Amino acid sequence: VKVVVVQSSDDETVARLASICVAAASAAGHDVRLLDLVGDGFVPWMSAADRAAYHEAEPLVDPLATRYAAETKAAEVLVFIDRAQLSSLSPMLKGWLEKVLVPGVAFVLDERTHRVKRGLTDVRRLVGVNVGDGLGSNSKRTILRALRLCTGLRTRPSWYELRPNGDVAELFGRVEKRMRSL
Amino acid sequence: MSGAIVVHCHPLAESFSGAMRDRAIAGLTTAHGHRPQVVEIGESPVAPPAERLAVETLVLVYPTWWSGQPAALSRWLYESVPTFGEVRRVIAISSHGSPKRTNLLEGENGKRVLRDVVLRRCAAGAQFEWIAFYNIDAAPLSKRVAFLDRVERRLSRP
Repeated sequence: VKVVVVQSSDDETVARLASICVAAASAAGHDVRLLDLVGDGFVPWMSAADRAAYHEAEPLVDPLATRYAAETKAAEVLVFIDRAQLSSLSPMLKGWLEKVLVPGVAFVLDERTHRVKRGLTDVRRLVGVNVGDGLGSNSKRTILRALRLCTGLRTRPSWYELRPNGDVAELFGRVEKRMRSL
Repeated sequence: MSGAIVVHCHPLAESFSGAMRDRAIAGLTTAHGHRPQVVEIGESPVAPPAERLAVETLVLVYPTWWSGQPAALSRWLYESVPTFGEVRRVIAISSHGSPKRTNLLEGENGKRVLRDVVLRRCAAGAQFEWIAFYNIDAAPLSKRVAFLDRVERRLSRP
């Protein structure tokens, strides 16, 4: 199974969760790719060139976003590891959605009917691992509801959240178990 | 204390979002008798206010992407929210490519973060107003113009 793990931060907990995911899924025999957004130097802000290209035939301008899009398009399991800010995805991960999951990758816009057709149809499981701030569930809804509209309702969702003062070791254990049995 | 600040986020110099900003500024100028402060977030985030945000009305103008604020505006909000203690009115003006039912399915995360998280960092009793244009991708010019008129009308009320 082709697994893509998106790591949005280099903070200790997020980095540890990413390495657990990669190690456990690899040990289970899966083909795992880690997208380390900070390590790769990903710029999450939509530039004028990115936005101008968005509705064109070639919407991907940033070479790193182009590589990420190809990896994501081929994924059967998508894993997002993030630290929430104001109950929502971090700007780094939110910017990744904006710049990588463009028309032709995550969805196709029908110009006549203006309806959206799903683009990530190979994804059979979506996994979110969130270091939460206890302020709400906007991160969870963005991944498991907004993004799942692009993968299909048959995609199985999994959500793991570390609440403030939560048990980190227990979360590590649950995430490892999930990644061993994808 | 009175006064307003408009925070606009869009990477392109010319956009529908920019037109929403201009009409918001026009409405606020009518309401307050002077032009509001304007913060422009273009291709990357800008610095948060140095100390307290000394205005009563905070207006956020942006396109909704992936059911929330653009990443650069999210960064600005996260860094700026500790300075919002004197803000009594938060107004969000946002365009959505998809219809309202899609945004409901997605969870309306941009609206929720402002209403449920940001507003609680503002002055006690602060009010929230949501002015949204849904399904802009399919909207004819007449509807877009009508929405811009609505923005100016709404913000010209004191």
